[in-house]
Amino acid sequence: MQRRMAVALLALVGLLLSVYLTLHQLGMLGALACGGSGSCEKVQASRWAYVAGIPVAAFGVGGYLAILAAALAGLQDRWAEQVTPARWLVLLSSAGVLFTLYLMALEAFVIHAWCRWCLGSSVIIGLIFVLSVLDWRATRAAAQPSLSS
Amino acid sequence: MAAGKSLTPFYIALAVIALGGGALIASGAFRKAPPPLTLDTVGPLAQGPRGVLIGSDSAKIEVWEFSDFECPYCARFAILSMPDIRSRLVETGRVRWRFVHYPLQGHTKSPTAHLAAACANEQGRFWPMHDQLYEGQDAWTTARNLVGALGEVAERAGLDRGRYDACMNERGTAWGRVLADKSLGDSVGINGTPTFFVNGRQVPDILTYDRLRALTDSLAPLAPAAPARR
Repeated sequence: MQRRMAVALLALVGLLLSVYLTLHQLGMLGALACGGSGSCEKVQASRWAYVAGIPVAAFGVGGYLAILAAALAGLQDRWAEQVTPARWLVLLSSAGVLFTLYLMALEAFVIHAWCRWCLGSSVIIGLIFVLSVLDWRATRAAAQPSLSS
Repeated sequence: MAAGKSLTPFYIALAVIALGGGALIASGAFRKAPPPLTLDTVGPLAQGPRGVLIGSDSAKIEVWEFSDFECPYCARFAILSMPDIRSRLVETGRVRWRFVHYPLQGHTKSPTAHLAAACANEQGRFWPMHDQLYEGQDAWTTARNLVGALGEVAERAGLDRGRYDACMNERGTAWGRVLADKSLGDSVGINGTPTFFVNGRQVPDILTYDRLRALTDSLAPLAPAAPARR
């Protein structure tokens, strides 16, 4: 239960961060708070900051919203002891981790700049993935005796 | 489990984070996003000489170029003719060149680009920025995030990004220089870009290296030296 709460809190922080970056990509914010290095702007202004015309950060908004919804659902009485929400969390966070690895590779080898907000999101999705896997294992282990009886 | 009771502190924490983060983003949106720069954006008109000057004080020919960074004809001139003019006429001391900011009405992204160039000038990097703006014109004029795209141009031009960002946000002296140049162009009746004046006389067409070379050869013996206006 506490793991799902932690996942929900992290997903909310990730969601806020993604909204911030999306608004910037849509031109609704001024310069990003990036310590004056310009790395964030360089990443955000690159052509890899869009996929099929959609700002990359908008995918983060969608992903974190889905994770937040799954985590909150998993906290409800009906789902609290179920494995299904844990499976969804593992699935969603796995996709997030893979997408994040792709973006980090672009930053490292193509754009040659690191956006600290993107790195923050990478840490958040990594933590969510670890917590989701732990939650999935714990719920599955708890569910096994009832399955065998 | 008694979800309603035991989850209450968690929901409160969630709400606090959501409200706090939302407020931070909203304040950033309201504080950090200055209204889009237009030719109607007021600023203190800069005093002193107009334009950005390169070339020798002793050159007998002075060219004034009224130009717009969003104008494709200006880009063509900057890319095709200006390198030859700069290396063979300006750097050899035959011609002194003055670039005058003249963002045209209707070119909605041009004012911001001129501000970026004026900010580059404050770092002594106007000409690298000038070159990058024209070479990358297609990219930044079509960018969804103009400020971000121009920031990338500034980096390619070798600007100190911290100082550049501060200048762009401040819109102070640098914007005043753009406005002062624009005002000068209006006062002499500029109605298109690029427009050139050679020793005070308007050239009826776009300059090329060959044409300026010929003008230089014909004017140099006749015209008095243009006063140096630094």
